[in-house]
Amino acid sequence: MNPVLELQKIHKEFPGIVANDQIDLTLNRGEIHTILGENGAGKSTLMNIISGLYIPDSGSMFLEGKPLHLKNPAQAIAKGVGMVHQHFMLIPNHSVSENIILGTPQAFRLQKSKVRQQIEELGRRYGLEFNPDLRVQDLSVGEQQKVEILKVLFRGAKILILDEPTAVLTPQESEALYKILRQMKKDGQSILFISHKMREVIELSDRITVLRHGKVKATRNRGETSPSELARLMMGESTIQTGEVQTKTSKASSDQSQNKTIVRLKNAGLRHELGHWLLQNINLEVRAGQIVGLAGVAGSGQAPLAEVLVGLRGLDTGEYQFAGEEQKGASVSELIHKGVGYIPEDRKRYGIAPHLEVAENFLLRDLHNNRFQSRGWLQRDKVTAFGRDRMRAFDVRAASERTPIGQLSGGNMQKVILARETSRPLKFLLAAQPVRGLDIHATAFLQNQLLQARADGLAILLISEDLEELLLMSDYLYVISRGSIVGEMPKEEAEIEKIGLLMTGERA
Amino acid sequence: MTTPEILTIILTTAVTMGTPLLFATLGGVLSERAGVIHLGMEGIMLVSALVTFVVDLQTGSKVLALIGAMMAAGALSGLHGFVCISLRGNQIASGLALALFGTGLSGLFGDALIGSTVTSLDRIPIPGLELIPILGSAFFNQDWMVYLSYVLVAGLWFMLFHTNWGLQIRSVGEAPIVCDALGLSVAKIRFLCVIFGGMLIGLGGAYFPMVLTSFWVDDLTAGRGWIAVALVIFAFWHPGKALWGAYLFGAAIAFQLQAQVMGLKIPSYILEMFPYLLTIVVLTVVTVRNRRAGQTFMPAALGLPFFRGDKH
Repeated sequence: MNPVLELQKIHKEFPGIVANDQIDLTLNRGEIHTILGENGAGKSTLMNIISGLYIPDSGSMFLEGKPLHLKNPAQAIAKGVGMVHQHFMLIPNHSVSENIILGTPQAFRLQKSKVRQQIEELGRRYGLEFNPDLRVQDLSVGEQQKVEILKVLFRGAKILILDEPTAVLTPQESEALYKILRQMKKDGQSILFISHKMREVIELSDRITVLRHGKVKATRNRGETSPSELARLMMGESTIQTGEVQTKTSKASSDQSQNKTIVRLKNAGLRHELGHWLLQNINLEVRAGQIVGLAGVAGSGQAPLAEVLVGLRGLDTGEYQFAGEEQKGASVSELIHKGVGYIPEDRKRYGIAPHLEVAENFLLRDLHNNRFQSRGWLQRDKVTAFGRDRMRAFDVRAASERTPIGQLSGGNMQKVILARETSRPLKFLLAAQPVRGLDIHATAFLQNQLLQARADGLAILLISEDLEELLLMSDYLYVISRGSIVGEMPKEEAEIEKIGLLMTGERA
Repeated sequence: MTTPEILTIILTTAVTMGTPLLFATLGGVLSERAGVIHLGMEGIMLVSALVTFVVDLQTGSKVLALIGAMMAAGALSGLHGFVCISLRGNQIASGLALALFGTGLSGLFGDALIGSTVTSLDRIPIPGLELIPILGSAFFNQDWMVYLSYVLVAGLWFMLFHTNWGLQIRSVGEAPIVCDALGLSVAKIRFLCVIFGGMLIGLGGAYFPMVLTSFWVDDLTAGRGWIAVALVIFAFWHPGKALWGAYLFGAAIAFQLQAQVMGLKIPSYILEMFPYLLTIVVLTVVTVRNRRAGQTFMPAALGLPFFRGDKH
């Protein structure tokens, strides 16, 4: 064993959340070490610490046995730690060679032919060949990633960190990347690989470390583990912590199959503007008085599906029926009028207007009706009274109803959004990641409100990447992967392992 | 007059009238390549014209006058840099404020200068080259500031596209986040470009008392700073194209002056409008053509203050 990088008791907290909890990790020379974990498990925080973007609260790092203190990414680069970000750090308008040499010591007058030669030589060694004079914007995503890798190698990196590198690649491009990484490994490079794709992790890694809730759950050597064990380590045992959620009080009526279908997608398909499919063959049903969960890793098609359901996008194929009526070309406001509510995933960007008062945020859904206006004049007293009432009912903690909502905590913000959506005649609520990032009390409060709404007959589609939350809340589950529904089951038949494998693209 | 004679006069005047535009456009190109919009050109040109005039009157030294003008322009641009880079203020607002401030300042102190005169720079023919028919006397029988502008065009072009500095400057204007992650100081590079760019704009202002008018009038630059703002865009942020753009507008001004001299029956107000009308037409054509081609030459981060992306 020849450790290149050692982490000891790395600890990092953000307000209200422990992102990394006493993490120990060793990276050996010439190994590919994968960090596996769900979203929010603390992978990115850890990588950002290693690449100098974050400074840990406590703990120490050693590079080739010597203590490593990083204050910024530039220092990490200088020490030989190179990061290939998920979102490429390239300048589209500049050539490949300009991107690669930027920030490295160069002669005052750029020696373009010399630089080209260096890049081609380095590229040949690892199979990363392309014309250094091309502009980055003319390259495919896979090629851009190769430029990123070359950029890191050009700086003499000893450690290469790749953050979900295959998330944006086609299967063929991924294969090419594995080949490059194996070649680099042979050459003595050490690679930290971040992923949540089971198959590639098992195929590629020499060692796998599983993170969960900011802690190291286990480290396994190549060949000593199985996809199902990793899935269990990653997502947790299927022990459902009831916490403060009063599941019993809101027990749904036993036979929901008799309930009216509110939302139905039939063979729904949606294309990206560039032509490829975002969604394909989606068949999905949500009944009144039912919470339907949609499981899937981030970016599997949840966002476009949500946009279809609330009317932001129209389907290219198939049908969207709402309360029995076809909704071809229905606008957002028509669907609002028909009783669609929406808790968007990115609540700060799409859920609120941060500089407006809490009370004003309550009426964002009612701007095109007369609920709070009379002959075009806003009725301030009505707005204030309504705001005060809703704040009390939903336990929103803010200085007053006139406080700008941007100053509230995430939990209180989310309560305002939920209150706004449910305080009007509603048939269907789309809740995307409603409790992500919230503390335990706000989480329990919101989950109870959703269960209560279900008991009152609301149809709810719950989109989440947290399987425990889905199993706790849902009556019926769908699993989405690469834009298609790959599995569905009633809650009674749902097992965390099976869903986990479906989510990661494996066949159960 | 024969046609070649008229052509020579128009071309010579085009170069003379285009030179202050060229200096200012080069300054704008440098500043905007690094990502900072410079709308304050008119104000900076007026103040540096004023400083040139005063220093020339007091010392009689053209070189000292030019140094003074560049220092004043650099200082004003430094102020713009402070607002836009350090405080991350709105670049448009800061630029407009600077333009108005400079105009007011030059008006205030310029009043006392009305009635004084300074000498203009002599023409220095370049042996051999000046004998080229028509073009020779237009381009190579000029004052030394014109020759300085040629050197600056070539120098700025070389610096931007063939040196490591240039790569860093262009990168900061395209993607400051990338530069920051690679350990470059975005603020330092932008400051240097704004200040040196401002000094070049100052040369444009200085050219008025140095060559164009030997006496002080209020609003000496007469809106040429605004034409330079447009020229930066027209030139696609490229020093070489700035040269042709500046002379094209110089020719428009020359044509207007010549038409007045020749007594064409067009109202003088319309003739005076001509260069500014041309600005609008050219900008529209250039923008539409670029949009059709799906191409933009504008630095991607132009006008955007840089914040280090702390996520939490």
